[in-house]
Amino acid sequence: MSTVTPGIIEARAAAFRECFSHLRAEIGRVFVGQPALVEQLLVCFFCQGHALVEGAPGLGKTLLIRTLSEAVNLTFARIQCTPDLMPADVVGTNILTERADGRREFVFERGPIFANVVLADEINRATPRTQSAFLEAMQERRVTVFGLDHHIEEPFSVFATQNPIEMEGTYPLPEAQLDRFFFKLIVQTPDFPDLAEIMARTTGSVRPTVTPRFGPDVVREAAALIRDVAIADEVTTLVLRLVRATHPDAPDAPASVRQFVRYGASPRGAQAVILAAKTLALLDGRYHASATDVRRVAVPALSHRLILNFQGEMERASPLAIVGDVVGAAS
Amino acid sequence: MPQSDAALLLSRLTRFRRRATLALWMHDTVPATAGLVLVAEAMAVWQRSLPDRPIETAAALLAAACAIGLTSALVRRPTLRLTARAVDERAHLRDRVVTAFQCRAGSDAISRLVLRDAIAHLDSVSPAAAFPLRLPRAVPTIGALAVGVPLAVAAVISLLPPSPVRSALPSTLADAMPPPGARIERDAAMSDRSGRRSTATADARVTTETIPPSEVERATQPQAGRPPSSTSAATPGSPQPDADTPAGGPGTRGGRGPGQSVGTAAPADAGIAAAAAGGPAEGRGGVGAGRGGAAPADSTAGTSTGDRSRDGGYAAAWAAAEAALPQERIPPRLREYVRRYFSAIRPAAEQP
Repeated sequence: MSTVTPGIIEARAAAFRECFSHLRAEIGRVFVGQPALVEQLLVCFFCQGHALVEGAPGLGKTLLIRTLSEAVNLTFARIQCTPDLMPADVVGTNILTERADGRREFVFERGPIFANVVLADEINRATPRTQSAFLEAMQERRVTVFGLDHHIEEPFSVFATQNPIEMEGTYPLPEAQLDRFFFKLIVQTPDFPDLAEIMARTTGSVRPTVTPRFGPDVVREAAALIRDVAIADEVTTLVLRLVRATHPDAPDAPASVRQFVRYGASPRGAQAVILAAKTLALLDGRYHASATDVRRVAVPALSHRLILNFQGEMERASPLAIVGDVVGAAS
Repeated sequence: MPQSDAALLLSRLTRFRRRATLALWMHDTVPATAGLVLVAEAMAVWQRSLPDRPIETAAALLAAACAIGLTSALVRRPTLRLTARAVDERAHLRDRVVTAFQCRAGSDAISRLVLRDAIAHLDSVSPAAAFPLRLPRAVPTIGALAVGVPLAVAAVISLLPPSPVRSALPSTLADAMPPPGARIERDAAMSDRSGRRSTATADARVTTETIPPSEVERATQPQAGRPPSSTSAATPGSPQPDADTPAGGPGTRGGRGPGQSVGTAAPADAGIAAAAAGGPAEGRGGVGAGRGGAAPADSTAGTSTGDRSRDGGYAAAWAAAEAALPQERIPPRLREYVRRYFSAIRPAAEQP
């Protein structure tokens, strides 16, 4: 018999909502505009997923991630990916040290991947070998060095950024690694009022500061609570239909999928959609996910998992639009 | 209390399902009514006549449509899960109810919260609002058809030429029949052993009166030298098919043993057949009474005075029919029908 009562669940849900609101407010003090992007980033964070943040340079991607970690009292690490970045620079390595009694031994020196929030800046500039160093950490939440497993403490989220413009000297992320990202978030260029607000905040003498609150426990509890949220079979079926419809050989795939997509979303995509939908439900004060929640999160959860075919690449078909077609067709 | 919450949810859902069934019934009754009206109208066109009792017919059609609609609604009645889905969609409850229905057996805290949330939202929705009793959109069209088509049918029927049979029957049948109430005495051979004797009036109504058993015994004695049935090969006591007398109820088939069968319809049949042929009907004296068991209007062994009176009437009726048959308005199919009929009821004395 579970000792968790509805009252405890309600208290945890209230703490989650308060933490979410706090983060949104603190990020809003530093990062101007784009509330949808912020909400999706927080949803991904509370689901303990990893996000690929794509945007032109100078749009505040790094600031956004750093603010998130500061506002909730988590450890933060930034990895600036370059072609000469080595896997050991990410996961850590064994270092020969001398003990007090004079004996020497190898001690594992943890890399930046062991932080609660990891920012892999311009991840597509790292070599595939280094990129693959993120794979195990992101999926298994552990790293293996010299045959020894080192577990990464939760909460743990990797936020990787990439520049969609400069492709020279980059190593586009392979599909296997793209699939490990929970969401792909697009940072838009701010509109005129937001730009004016950014100038006002960043060119004066007063710099906005973030008030840290809560801690890793709240995030862990929230992540566990999200997984407990109920979901009806009908809603799960909708998610599966969405995922199936991203495959060109599926009978209910829309025309854009048949025309431009070579391979559709994986089961990880369905997992991401369901977890994100549960998070939105909890934010809404419900303890069950609905079809509306699923439709809201389908685009960021599935768009980066589509592999376009030659025609799609040539015609620069937008995966966001294709997933939008899928959602429309499934509705 | 998860159990009580689950029971509460189920009771709420049952209310909604009842209402959904009612809405379905209403929705299905309308097309059923239209379908039955159309069928009735098609039958009216086929028979070229309107129902004799239009109000009763309409009421029967409506009752049948209601029954069909109810049956359809009960068959198509949604399950509780489908009801939950429908309530979610119609009341914009964002999958609350269907999730709660799925979680109703769960005892964890989340399931209880989901159940409570769903019940609280269900209480704010009335079944009538979720499942309003709406008529189908096609009701105006169906209504116009229901009014317009009968009028058109009536107009078509009035323009169509009358059926040759029906036009021939009423004018001559009245002449062929004796006035109502005229009693035709039945032969004692028509009586059964229980002592009840059948009598018939010309309008084919059958009455019975009690006669002494001695008279019955005397009348039912088979006469030597006369076969029990001159045309039928039926064995005594076995019912005899009356396929040869399709013009009407040929009589009461007894099958109760030799000499017990009582036939009553021969007069009317003879009259109808003669009337159809355009001649006088004089075959009303013939009553099948015999040992063959079945006593249709065939020529069963007639040992009675009834047979004798029929013998005379038969000749006259057949002569009149034969004279009328060549008329052009008698369809060839009916001519053969009349010939077969007279052949079937031919008395034994006139057998070739």
